[in-house]
Amino acid sequence: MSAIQRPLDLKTVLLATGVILTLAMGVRHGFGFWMQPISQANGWSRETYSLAMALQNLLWGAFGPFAGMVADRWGTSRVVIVGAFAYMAGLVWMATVSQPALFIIGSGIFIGLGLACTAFGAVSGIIGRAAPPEKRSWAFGISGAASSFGQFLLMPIEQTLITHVGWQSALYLLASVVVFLMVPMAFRLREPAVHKAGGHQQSIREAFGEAVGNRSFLLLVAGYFVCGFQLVFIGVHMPAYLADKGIADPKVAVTALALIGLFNIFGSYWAGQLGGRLPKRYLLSFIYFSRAAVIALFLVLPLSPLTVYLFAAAMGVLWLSTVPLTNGIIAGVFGLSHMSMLAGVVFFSHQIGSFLGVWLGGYVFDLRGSYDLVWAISIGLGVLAGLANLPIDERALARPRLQAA
Amino acid sequence: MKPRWRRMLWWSLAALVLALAFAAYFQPAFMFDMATRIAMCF
Repeated sequence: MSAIQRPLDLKTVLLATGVILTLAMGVRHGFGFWMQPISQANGWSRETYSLAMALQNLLWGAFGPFAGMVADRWGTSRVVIVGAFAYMAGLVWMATVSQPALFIIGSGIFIGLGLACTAFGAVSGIIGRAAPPEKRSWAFGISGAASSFGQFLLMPIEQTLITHVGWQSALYLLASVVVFLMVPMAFRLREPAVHKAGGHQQSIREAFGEAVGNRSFLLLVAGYFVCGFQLVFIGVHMPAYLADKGIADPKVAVTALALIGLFNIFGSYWAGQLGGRLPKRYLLSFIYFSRAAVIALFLVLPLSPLTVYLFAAAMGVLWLSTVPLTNGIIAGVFGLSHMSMLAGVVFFSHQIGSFLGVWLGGYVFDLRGSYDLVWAISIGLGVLAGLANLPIDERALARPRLQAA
Repeated sequence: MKPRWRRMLWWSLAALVLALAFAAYFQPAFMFDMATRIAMCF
């Protein structure tokens, strides 16, 4: 595959990354539906499948900076193609492997790598390079909305597939769709001499060192950790919490899930759009403070289906709205040459937060018989993340030596 | 087609897709699957 000479067209990039993100984020979002049939068919406890999912999420985060590095250096197109085939291999692996250790390691590595190469971190660099500075935040918002749309759309589709064609064939079908849609889209993302874009020649080591030595970057990392902690704790433990409190009607949980998915699309889009007009650090602070306030209100108000729906809609708006703003700040401060790698580094902290959110929720519940402490931690972390984002310096870093080169 | 009408058409199409996806969450089979998942929390 050779590099092309035409400049990047924003519409083409948004359309191609939109399809890739819809599939990448959507397919994995419905993996919970396979827990029961796979565990039953292979005679496993739920722990085996849960561990495989946990490992997938951790490896997604761990592979992220490396996938980003390759995307920045050799082009997003190549990375997405590798990711599409890894994703396909992971889905086929899930359908065929029945040995627990092999299932956990193989699906963790393949799906983790697939996600790292096709989700937001990997494609954020090319979106940033295609969009003019005044439209960059909006473009990140569109991509965030595409990710959210994938999560919203593919859950009922995956459930229908399992019901109608069986869990194994559903995985094979999704594997085919991933490759046949992602690969042609990847060819739309070829760009001229990626590693020279941005006008300066900073090495990967220099870019990484500069970022981790920068206070604003570390504050973004801290904020994203909280984002992962809150979302995955709520996503995983919410049904159990509702049932504990006497709301066991699945219709309430389903409506809440649908509302989170629907409002998430609007939240991501609005965040990106507002990020082009207002300081992104203040918007991020507002999102984290709002999450803390919404969770606190949810706990204080008497629990009913209505409060669950209001909570779900409010959290939906705040769900992935941090993504376009965080990536917008990275692009603005550090430039676009190593954008995907830096987005991957920040996202790794999101995944560690996610892992802790799920694990701590279960651990504390087993220890104390209630989720109260983890809810309190979520509120406290929300306030801390809100405060942490306030002093972020959004100005582009001055690089006198590099600019002169 | 005028750009304004084209934009309205796109927004209407997006709204229709979102409404259909939202409705899909309330299919009996999906609800049953969710109920099973909730029961599995215990």
